Amino acid sequence: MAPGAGGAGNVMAPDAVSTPLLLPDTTAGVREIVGGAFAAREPLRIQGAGTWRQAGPPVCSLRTLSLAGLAGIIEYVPGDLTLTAWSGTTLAELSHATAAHGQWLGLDPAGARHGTIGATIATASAGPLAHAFGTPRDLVLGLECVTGYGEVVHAGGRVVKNVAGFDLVRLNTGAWGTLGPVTALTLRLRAVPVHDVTLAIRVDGEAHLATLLAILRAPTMSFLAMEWVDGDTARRLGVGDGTDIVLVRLGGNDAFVRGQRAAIENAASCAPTDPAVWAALATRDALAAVVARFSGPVSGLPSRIGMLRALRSRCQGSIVLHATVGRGIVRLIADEAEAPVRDVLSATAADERVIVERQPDAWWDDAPDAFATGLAGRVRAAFDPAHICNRRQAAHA
Amino acid sequence: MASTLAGIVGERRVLERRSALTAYASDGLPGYHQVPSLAVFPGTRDELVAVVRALAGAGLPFVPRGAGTGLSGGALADGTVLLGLNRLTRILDIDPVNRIATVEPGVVNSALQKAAAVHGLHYAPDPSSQSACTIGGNVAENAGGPHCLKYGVTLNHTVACTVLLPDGEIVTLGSRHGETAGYDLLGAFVGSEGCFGVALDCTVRLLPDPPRVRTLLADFSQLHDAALATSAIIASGILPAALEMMDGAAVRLVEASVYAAGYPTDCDAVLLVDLDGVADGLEDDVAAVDAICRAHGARHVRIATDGAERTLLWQGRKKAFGAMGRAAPHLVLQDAVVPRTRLPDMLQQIAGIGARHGVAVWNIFHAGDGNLHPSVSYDAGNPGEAARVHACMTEIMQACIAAGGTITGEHGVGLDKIDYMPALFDGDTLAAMCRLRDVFDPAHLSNRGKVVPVHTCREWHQAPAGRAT
Ligand SMILES: Cc1cc2nc3c(=O)[nH]c(=O)nc-3n(C[C@H](O)[C@H](O)[C@@H](O)COP(=O)(O)OP(=O)(O)OC[C@H]3O[C@@H](n4cnc5c(N)ncnc54)[C@H](O)[C@@H]3O)c2cc1C
Ligand SMILES: Cc1cc2nc3c(=O)[nH]c(=O)nc-3n(C[C@H](O)[C@H](O)[C@H](O)COP(=O)(O)OP(=O)(O)OC[C@H]3O[C@@H](n4cnc5c(N)ncnc54)[C@H](O)[C@@H]3O)c2cc1C
Repeated sequence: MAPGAGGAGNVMAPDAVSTPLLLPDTTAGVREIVGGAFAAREPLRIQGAGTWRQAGPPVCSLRTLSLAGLAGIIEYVPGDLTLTAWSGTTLAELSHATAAHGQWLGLDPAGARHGTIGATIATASAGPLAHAFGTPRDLVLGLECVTGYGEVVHAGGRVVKNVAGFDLVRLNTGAWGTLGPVTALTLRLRAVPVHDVTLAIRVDGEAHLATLLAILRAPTMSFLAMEWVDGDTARRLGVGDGTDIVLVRLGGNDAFVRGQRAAIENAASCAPTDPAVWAALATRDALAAVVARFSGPVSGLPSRIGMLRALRSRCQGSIVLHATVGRGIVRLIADEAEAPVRDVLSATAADERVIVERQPDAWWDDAPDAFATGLAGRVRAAFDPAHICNRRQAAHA
Repeated sequence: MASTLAGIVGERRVLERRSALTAYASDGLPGYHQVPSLAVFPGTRDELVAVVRALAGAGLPFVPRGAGTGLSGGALADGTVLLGLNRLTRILDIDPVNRIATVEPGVVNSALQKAAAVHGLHYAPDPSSQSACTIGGNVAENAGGPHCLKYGVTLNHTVACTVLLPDGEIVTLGSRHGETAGYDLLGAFVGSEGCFGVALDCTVRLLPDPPRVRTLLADFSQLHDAALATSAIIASGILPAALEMMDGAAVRLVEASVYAAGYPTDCDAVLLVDLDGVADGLEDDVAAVDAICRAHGARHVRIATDGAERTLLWQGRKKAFGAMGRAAPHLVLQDAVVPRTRLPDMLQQIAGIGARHGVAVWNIFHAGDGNLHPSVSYDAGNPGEAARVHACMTEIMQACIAAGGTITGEHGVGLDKIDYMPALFDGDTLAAMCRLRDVFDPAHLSNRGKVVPVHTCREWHQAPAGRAT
C-alpha cells in the first residue's frame, strides 16, 4: 500500500496545543515542510498518532508535523521475516498484517496500539517482550528520515545483517525526533510461537525475589518475558491476592511449554493466568502524572524495588511498580505528581540510568537535556543545526 | 614523533624501519599493500592515551589495528601511523551474576570465551577468526559469526565502551548496567571501523551456555535445493543457533585437507544446522528441521550423537577457509548479504558470473542470515588472474545490491568496498554519514580515507591506492 499522492500537506486547524497541524502524506511533503522550517528557523513539533504527546520534556513549536498521514505497508516479505512500513502505520495495523502470516513484531511498548511505529522507534519504546527480542535497537534494520536540514536519508537496509557505512539507524532510534522525523522503517519480524502461555509466580518479599531470580535466570529456563509486578497492582490487574508476582510468558511448542511449566512449578508456587494481563499492564499508566524507569544491575533489582517501594508510604496517590527482570529495569508509575516523587527524581536527576518518560512540565526544569551536551550536542548540531525538530522549551533547556 | 612516542612506550615498541613495517602492510585481505610511516604499540591504557594525545597534538593521522585479521583492508595505514593494540590484553572484569565482562581492546575473542567458560558463560559473537581477532576489532567491525543468526552480532552484545576520541578526549558510550538517556552513540560507534576513535575498553554481555545443542548435517545433490531448504527453515519459525551452507567444491577441498570432517564428497551442498536451548521441546525442532531438509531434497540428514561428533562437523566449516589456502597462494573472501528468499537465485547468479569470468567461486556462508561469502583462491601475483577475480567479485557485489542486499554483513567497508558505497547509498545519506564521523573526529585523524567516500578522498576513490591489481 502506498501513501496517497500529495504535496507538502494541508495546514489544518489548530490541534490540542493549538499549533497548526501539518499532515503530509509523502516523504517529499515532509522534506518540503522541514526544509521550509529550516529556512525560516521555525520550530516544529513532530508527532505520530499523538497518543503519547505528554511524554518527554515540553516542546516549543509553531506548527506540528504529523506523520500520521504517511501510513501503510510498503513491502512485506513473510519468507524473509522483514517488513517495511511508513512511519505513521499504527502498531495495530502492523499486528494485523503480520498475524495473517503467523508472524509478529516482538515489540509491546506500553500505551495504545493505535500509536505509530515511527514514534515507537523514535522513542525506542519497548515493553516486556524486550526480554527475548531486544529493544528497537535490535529490531530496526533500516529507516528513512528527514534531517533538520531537510535532506532525505536512507540508512541501513532490508537485510538482517548489514555493516555498510556508519550507523544512522541506531542514531535515529531513540532520538525522540530531535534529529528529524523518521518517515519509513524496515523491521525484523518473528514467527508467532505455537503456544503462548502466561504464568503468575508468587513472590514473598524482596529476599524471596532474589532467590527466585536465580532460579528463573538459570540456563534451563527460557521465557519471552519475565516481569515483576507489585502486589497491589497485581490485585488490580486481577492476577493475585495482594502478593507480589512475577509474570512469565512462555512461547514454544507443546513439549517446551509443558517442560518449562513443570520446571517452574517445581521451584515456586505458580498459576496460569489470562494473557490479557500484558495488555492491562501496558495501559496501566494511561492517566499517570509521572512515569520513570530506573535501571541498574540485575543483581541490584530487589534493592532498587525496595527503595522505590519505600516511596509509597509517603504518597497519597497510587504508586505502581513493575520491573523487567532480565533487564534490571523498574518502572514507576505515580498517579499524582507529589512532592516525595519529585524528591526521588531530583535526587537521581544526574543519573543517566533514570529515564523520565512523563512528569509535570515544571519538573523538567531540573532535568538535564540528554541531547544537548558533549557528543550528543554535537550530533544534534550536525543533523539539526537550527534546532527545528522537537526543540525543548527554553525554560527547560 | 618517533622519539616522542618512544618516550611514552619505550624504544622497542616503536617501529620505524621499512623492513619492520612491511609486516603490517596487509590484513586478512590480499591485493592491498600499504606501509605505515611508523608503528607504535602501547602496553597500557595510559600509554595508549598519551600516544593518541601526542599524535593529536602534532595533527598526525593514525590507524588503530587489533590482530589485523580484517577482510576489508580496514587496518592498513598508508604513510600514516599504525597504532597497534594487540598488547592491551587484560580482561578487566567478569561479573558472572550480571553476566557482563569488561576487556581491553586487544583481548582475543577466544581468550574471552575461555575466561567466560569457567562460569558456564560465553560471548555470543563467534567469527571464524576468533582464535586471532580482538574484541576491539570485533566492535570496530560489528563482527558476526555462525551463531549470530539466533543471538545477534557484536552490536547486540556490547553494552558500553570507553572511547578515546582522536583529539584525545575520553568518553563513555552506553552503560555497564542498564539504559541510558540520549542518542545511541554506542550503537553508532560499534561498526565504525576505527574512524570514530579507539576503544579503550569494551563491556560486553555474556550468555549462559545453552543446556543442550543438537547439530545436523544435511547434504544435497543440488545447491539450489539447499538454498530452498534454508528459506523454508527460516520461514517455519524455528530459529536455529546457526544455519551454515558449504557448496560441493568447498566440501571436497575440506575433505582433502587435514580438517576432513566426514562430509559426503559427492554432494553439491551441505547445510550445517545447530539447534540449541533448553532441553524441553528441542527434539521436536530437530525433527522438524530434519523433515524440512528432506522435503527439499536432502539425500541424508546426519544428526551428531555426541560432543565429539559435533566438534568434528563444525571443524570442517570453521577451517574451510584455511583449507582453501591449499589451492592457491591468495584467498579473497567476500562478504555480501541478500534477503534470505533471494538466496537460491543469487547462488545461481554467482555460479554464472564465476563461469563467465573463468573464476572458480566457492560458497561457504551464513545461509540463515543470507550472508554470502563468495571466495576465490588465486595468485595475486598473476595480473591477468587477479584482474579476472576482481571483475568477478565486482559483478557479484552488484548483483547482491540489485537483489535488495548489501555489500557487507560483517567484514566492513574498509578500503576494499568504498567503491560500492555510492551504489548503495545516495549522496545525502553519504553526506549524513560524513557528518556523523565529523562529530567524533572532525580532523579526520583516525583511519582517514576509509568507509565513506568523502570529497577529500574522491580522487583516491576513483583509483584506490594500494590495490595491487
Ligand atoms: C499511555 C501511554 C503510555 C506509554 N508508556 C510508554 C512507556 O512506558 N514506555 C515506552 O517506551 N513507551 C510508552 N508509550 C509509547 C508508545 O507505546 C509508543 O512510543 C508509540 O506507540 C506512541 O505512538 P504515537 O504515534 O501516538 O506517538 P506520539 O505521541 O505521536 O509521539 C511520541 C513521541 O515520538 C515522537 N515522534 C512521533 N513520531 C515520530 C517520527 N515519525 N519521527 C520522529 N519522532 C517521532 C514525537 O515527537 C514524540 O516525542 C506510551 C504511550 C501511551 C499512549
Ligand atoms: C579466516 C578468517 C575468517 C573470518 N571470519 C569472520 C567471521 O566469521 N565473521 C566476521 O565478522 N569476521 C570474520 N573475519 C574478519 C575479521 O576477523 C573480523 O573483522 C575481526 O573483527 C577483525 O578483528 P581484528 O582484531 O583482526 O581487527 P583488525 O583487522 O586489526 O582491524 C579491523 C578494523 O577495526 C579497527 N580497530 C581495531 N581495533 C580497534 C579498536 N580498539 N578501536 C577502534 N578501532 C579498532 C581497525 O582500524 C580496522 O578498521 C574473518 C577473518 C579471517 C582472516
